[in-house]
Amino acid sequence: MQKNNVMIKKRFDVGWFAVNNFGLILIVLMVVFGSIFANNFLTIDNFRNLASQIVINGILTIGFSVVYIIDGFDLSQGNVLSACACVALTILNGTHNILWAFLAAAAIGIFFGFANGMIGKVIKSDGSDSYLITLAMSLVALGFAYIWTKGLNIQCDSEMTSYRNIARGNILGISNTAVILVVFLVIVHFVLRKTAIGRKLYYVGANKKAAFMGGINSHNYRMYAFMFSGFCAALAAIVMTARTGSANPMTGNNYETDAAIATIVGGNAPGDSKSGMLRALFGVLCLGLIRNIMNMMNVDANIQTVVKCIILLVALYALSVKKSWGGKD
Amino acid sequence: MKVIRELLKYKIWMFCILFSVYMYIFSPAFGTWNNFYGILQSMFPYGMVALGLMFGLVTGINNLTIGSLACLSAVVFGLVSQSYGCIAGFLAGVAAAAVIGAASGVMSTYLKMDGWLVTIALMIGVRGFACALLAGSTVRITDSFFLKVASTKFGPVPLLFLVFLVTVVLVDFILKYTHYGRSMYAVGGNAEVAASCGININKVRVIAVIVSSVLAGIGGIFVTARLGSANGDLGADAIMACLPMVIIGGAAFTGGKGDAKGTLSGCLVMNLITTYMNLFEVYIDAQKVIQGAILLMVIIADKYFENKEIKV
Repeated sequence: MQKNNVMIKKRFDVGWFAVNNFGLILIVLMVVFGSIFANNFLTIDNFRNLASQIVINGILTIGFSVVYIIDGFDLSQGNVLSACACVALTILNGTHNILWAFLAAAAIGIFFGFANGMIGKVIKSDGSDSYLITLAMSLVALGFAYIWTKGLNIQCDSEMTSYRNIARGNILGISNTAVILVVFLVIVHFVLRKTAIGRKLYYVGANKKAAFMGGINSHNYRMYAFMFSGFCAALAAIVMTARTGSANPMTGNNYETDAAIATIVGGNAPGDSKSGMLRALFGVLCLGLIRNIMNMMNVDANIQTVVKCIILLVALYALSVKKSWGGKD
Repeated sequence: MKVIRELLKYKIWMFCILFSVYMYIFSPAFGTWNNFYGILQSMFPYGMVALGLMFGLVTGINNLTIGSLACLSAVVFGLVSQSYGCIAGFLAGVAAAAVIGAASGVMSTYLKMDGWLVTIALMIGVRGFACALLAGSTVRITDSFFLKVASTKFGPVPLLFLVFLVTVVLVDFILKYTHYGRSMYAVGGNAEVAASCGININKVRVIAVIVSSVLAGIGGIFVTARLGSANGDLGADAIMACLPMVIIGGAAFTGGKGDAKGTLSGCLVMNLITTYMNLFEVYIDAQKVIQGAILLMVIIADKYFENKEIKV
């Protein structure tokens, strides 16, 4: 332990700082780059716009980070989002009640999360199994969405303006959805840091065997994390349908990859005591800024995907360098 | 007892025969030569991709990039073959897959990056790159020589199926009778032990990923023969379709198991199931759920027995 500390102290230099605060540095670089090369970047309107752009990815990333902390990986989020969106709008059109729509979406999301977690519990999965389980589950969720909608586009009833106002309204000039994101972020941060269940998630992620020996039922905590991720997908679905007013089975296509990139670029790592909502926020801001700046510079959407991939690879390299320098913190 | 144990080795093949007999009895369309040709013909593209996946899995590398690599190879093939002919296009497509495979292998071994995440990052990026090459459109495959090769058949047996069989034999030969193949099993079974035995595990893995990517690329190129064009969505379901083939064929997610013969049987099973769903008119959207459920069952069956003894 002593030796380790000395090594970390010696390594406190520019490289060490860069590797540890990858997301933060990227944000600063992006802001500098954007203010030089993109017109209208440093305007209040643009930042307001940015705040509402990052909401859906932000909510998904919150769930993704929690799953990533317990050494899982939820590739089903995007398609679960589609399923929740379709169900929510159908229920909303049927009952004209926002609460029922929300509850139905949450039930579907939590159900898919529960299925992910339950399968993981049955096969006593470790980190790498959850990639495959959730990949298969995403196909099931996509099929469910197609069966539910019969492949059609569902429109929100035009008289449900109260539902659409969830996304349209604003509080003190900040859009409602951004407020939802911030409140949700603070709540999850509090739960992760200050409650027993949150701390146990970190233990399970760091070493699920040791946590099990210490009296924590690791399997159950992994399951809770997946259920929470499903709930986040449902919440994102509500925000998304409120904004667009329509839903189809391809609504959430590929959203999970953005959430994964944001989680990892922000610097989260399984069981890392410093990973959490702050780093998730860094990652989300980073990805939002990249999209914002590249949209302003008229960069093709496919090139944007390649750029995101390269940034993810650089972030992974930073993580591996960090690991080789000793210690997770 | 001994006979039963011997027979159980061929349980996948026996399942194929029983399933075929069942469909032969209950569906008049199944027994036709056309259907036979169709099943064999559809085995080649994703069969090659599955072989590639298996090749990576033997050394313990889950190459999730294969779907995107199939797409990239097909797009490069389509674009190059338009002006330089199909041989040059084929080579360019395979070379593109090999380059990405080499990059993926080097990053996950020599640079010690998380192998899963590297393949997922490339899965996103390579497809984006392929779409960027196409600039949002599709490329039509009009090369007459290529289309002729893809549709050549001897009786009801397509030429491509024979090529597939030759590849299976070749891959099995490499895995079983060469020094490199044996070291692949050693690396997949237990990398640390293999390293202490003097095997250069990084080198073995990088070569495995390159071969795996090349096979996936070849598969992707021949998907275009059936579609007549290459677009950005090509091979989007390759992982979902190929993972069950590989795992049913005896490979394991942890590595160190599996051979090409088994993958051939797994490929046949999955194709028969697809044929069943089409012949018996299973609702098209329900087919997605069934495909996902099969993949889930395969994962559970593989992992449940492996982790049965341990508690956490």
